[in-house]
Amino acid sequence: MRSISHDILIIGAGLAGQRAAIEARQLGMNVGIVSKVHPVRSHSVAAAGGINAAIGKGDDWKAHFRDTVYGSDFLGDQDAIEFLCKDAPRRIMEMESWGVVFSRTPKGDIAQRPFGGQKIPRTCYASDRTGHMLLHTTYDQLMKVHPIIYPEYYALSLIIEGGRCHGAVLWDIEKGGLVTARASATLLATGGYGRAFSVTSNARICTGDGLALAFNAGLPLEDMEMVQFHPSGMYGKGFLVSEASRGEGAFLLNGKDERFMKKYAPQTMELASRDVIARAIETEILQGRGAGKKKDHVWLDLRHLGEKTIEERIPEIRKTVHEQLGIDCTKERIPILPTAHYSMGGIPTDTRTRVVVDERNTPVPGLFAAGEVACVSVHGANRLGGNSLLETLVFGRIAGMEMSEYVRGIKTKTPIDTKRFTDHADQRIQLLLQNIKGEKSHAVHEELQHTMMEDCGIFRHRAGLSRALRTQKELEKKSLSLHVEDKSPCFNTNLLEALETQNMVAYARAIIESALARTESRGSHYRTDYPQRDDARWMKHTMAVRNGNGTRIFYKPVVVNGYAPEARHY
Amino acid sequence: MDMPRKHDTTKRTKKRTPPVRASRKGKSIRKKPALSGVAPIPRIPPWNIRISRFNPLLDFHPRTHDYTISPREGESLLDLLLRIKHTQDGSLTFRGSCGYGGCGTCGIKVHGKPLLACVTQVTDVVDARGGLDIQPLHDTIIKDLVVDEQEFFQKLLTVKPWIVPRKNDERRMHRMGINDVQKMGKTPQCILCGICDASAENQKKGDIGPSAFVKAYRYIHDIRDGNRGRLASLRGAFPISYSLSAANECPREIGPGDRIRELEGEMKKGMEKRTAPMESDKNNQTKRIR
Repeated sequence: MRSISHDILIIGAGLAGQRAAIEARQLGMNVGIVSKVHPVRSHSVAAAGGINAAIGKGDDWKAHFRDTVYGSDFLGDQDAIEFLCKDAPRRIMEMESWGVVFSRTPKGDIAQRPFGGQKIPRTCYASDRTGHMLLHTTYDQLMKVHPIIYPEYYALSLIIEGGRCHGAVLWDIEKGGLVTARASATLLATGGYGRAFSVTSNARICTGDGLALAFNAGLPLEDMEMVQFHPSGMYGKGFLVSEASRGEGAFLLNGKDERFMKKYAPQTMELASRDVIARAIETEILQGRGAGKKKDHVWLDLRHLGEKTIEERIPEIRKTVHEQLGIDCTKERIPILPTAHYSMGGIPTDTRTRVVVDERNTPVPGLFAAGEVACVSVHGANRLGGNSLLETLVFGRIAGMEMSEYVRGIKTKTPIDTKRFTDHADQRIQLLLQNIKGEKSHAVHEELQHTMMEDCGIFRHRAGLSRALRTQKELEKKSLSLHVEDKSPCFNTNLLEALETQNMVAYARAIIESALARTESRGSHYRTDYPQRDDARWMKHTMAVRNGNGTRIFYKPVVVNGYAPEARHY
Repeated sequence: MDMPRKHDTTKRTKKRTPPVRASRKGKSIRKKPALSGVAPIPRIPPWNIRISRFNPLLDFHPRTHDYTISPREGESLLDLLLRIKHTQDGSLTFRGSCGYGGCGTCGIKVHGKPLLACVTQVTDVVDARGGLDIQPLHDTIIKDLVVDEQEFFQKLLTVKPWIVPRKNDERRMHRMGINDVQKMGKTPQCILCGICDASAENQKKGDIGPSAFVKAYRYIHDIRDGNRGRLASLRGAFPISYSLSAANECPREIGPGDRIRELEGEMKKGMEKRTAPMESDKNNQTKRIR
């Protein structure tokens, strides 16, 4: 069996992983980057609208901090948010000096646009391909520092022994075969789990594998019930129509051609936070005011912006909408529906990106997490648009620094026996490859997606969630013996789909049980049977951890430092 | 495509939204029928999809396999490949991720023409008899439609695709005018899909590919870059051995071939990039942030 060894192993090569790698390389570490796709194919490219930083006139980090805490429905940890907002201007300047082609004001400064849930135009952008620009520029910088990249390797399990993480067991996708990756520090930067839902803006690779790595290793997952639905997904496709459209002034119209947001957010209208708008759209449709023959969507109207603005500020929206729906958004309205977009929850970490296991923030030595897979938590119950790219850069860099410091602090490497882990991984693969019966992975995957969308979507209630839990338990049984048609070890995407499905089914349990336990409505988690926010009982993070065949739920207090909860109105 | 046309056994699904789309070739943005509403089921023959297959453990050479599948309107090539994988042959292997032309993963050749599968509608490329011929992007095949990208990414490094800062101070913001940004054209939009490299035929081993030139162009025309020798370092790459008009093939419409021609012109003029003062070079290059 092949084995590789590095000081630092980074799993996931999106923006957070790449940023961490650059930092660690600059600090002289031996870095190995593992990713199931080539780094530039990561889903960070899809972030469109922009990245927040208080660099404008009359803006400061405190205003950014208040907007973020308010947007998170007060579930965000305020020490982490403070750090995020303070560091933001420095990260923007760094990216600018690395060569990101930001859009500019006539004076030559970085331009900023208004975004949902923020009182001031604070979102720096590169027309509507900000994520793409950031990722490709970061990749260029990564090439400069020569890390060792393992593209198309898939992480199967973490090697955690004696409470310490020693690396991971990998699957070489191209050639087939297991690889033991030993490392003093391991970073999980594997992104989110949009693919667990049937309508999603996420790419096919966004299966949240890092969450399953942690969950299956017996580590807790935090705030998994907090799933963001983006208000504007293309009808019938789910692809994202960036929030930049509304930032530039697009209207949301229902079947009666009313700007319905005036009922739900009279002050900010289309620029309310995402959870509020997504619920508003669903409510309009449920109450029979949807558009189209089936009354099952609403319109996003860009026509009044004019062709010039659209071509200059949001050309990608125009291009994608035309390619996918055949619609010219300068002349026609875009049919939209909310789409699963972002996971606020994830692997709990402290502000130094160390993965923690309990309410007292006890870290797992050697294990770190950053980006969407992590829950620091800066987004709380609802993320503001433009804060996710920022999170990847801020905490990606911190992860690089923390891991380097951690590796330096290790005196002697303890030899450990990895056989137990590789045997287990081998068994999992062989079981799938040798199975000649059983359900196809994509059938199980689809059933999971529909269950999650129907019963664990924007509006939730006890009966639906209990039903989802029953389905999940059945699917978990089925997922153990999936039928993989392709028996070849080389580049077996069929096998990969099965492994991803197993992962998704596993952590879906944490999502459903966390949602079932939180008997209040906060941010993106809305319970129709408990429609009020309940600060007295629920100002705390949900932690879900595997416990035999079941799940144990416990809670971690929210860090409130300076901004006490108040009623939330947009 | 002379195989006997079988009748499709899969049920022709009822029209789903979004419905029928007219052929959308050409640049102009055209109206399509309203999204809602039931469109008539089109009377088109089942599609015969011929796909190049290669399993490194079994095959010496790529072979082809024909799939017959019911047509579905509004479906991209990537969706079609997925449908074949999930309903007919789980071992069919290809790459694909984001689904809307952002990640650059799903480059394939259709009737010999390189393109991105996810932004191509099947109805736009299928021939009159419902035939479709799908091949991998180039010859270095790993499996089926999956090709080895290592050489492609290695080639990018030859142009040192990273900025060399002039003033190494990350707390300063460069002032960039709109003209300065426009100098780079569309080159910063490159998604590294490799379509231009695959189109540029007769590329010799060791040649700098079109996408590497696009990277070079992007940094040469970035006023913030301090590497003045960048243009000169490309001298050895000319004359180009491959067809520049073929290299213009690009889903992002960057026009890699034209950019190469421009670079060649600039070099011939001996025009070092910073001889003329830039719009923003007025003693006020940078602005301190807090």
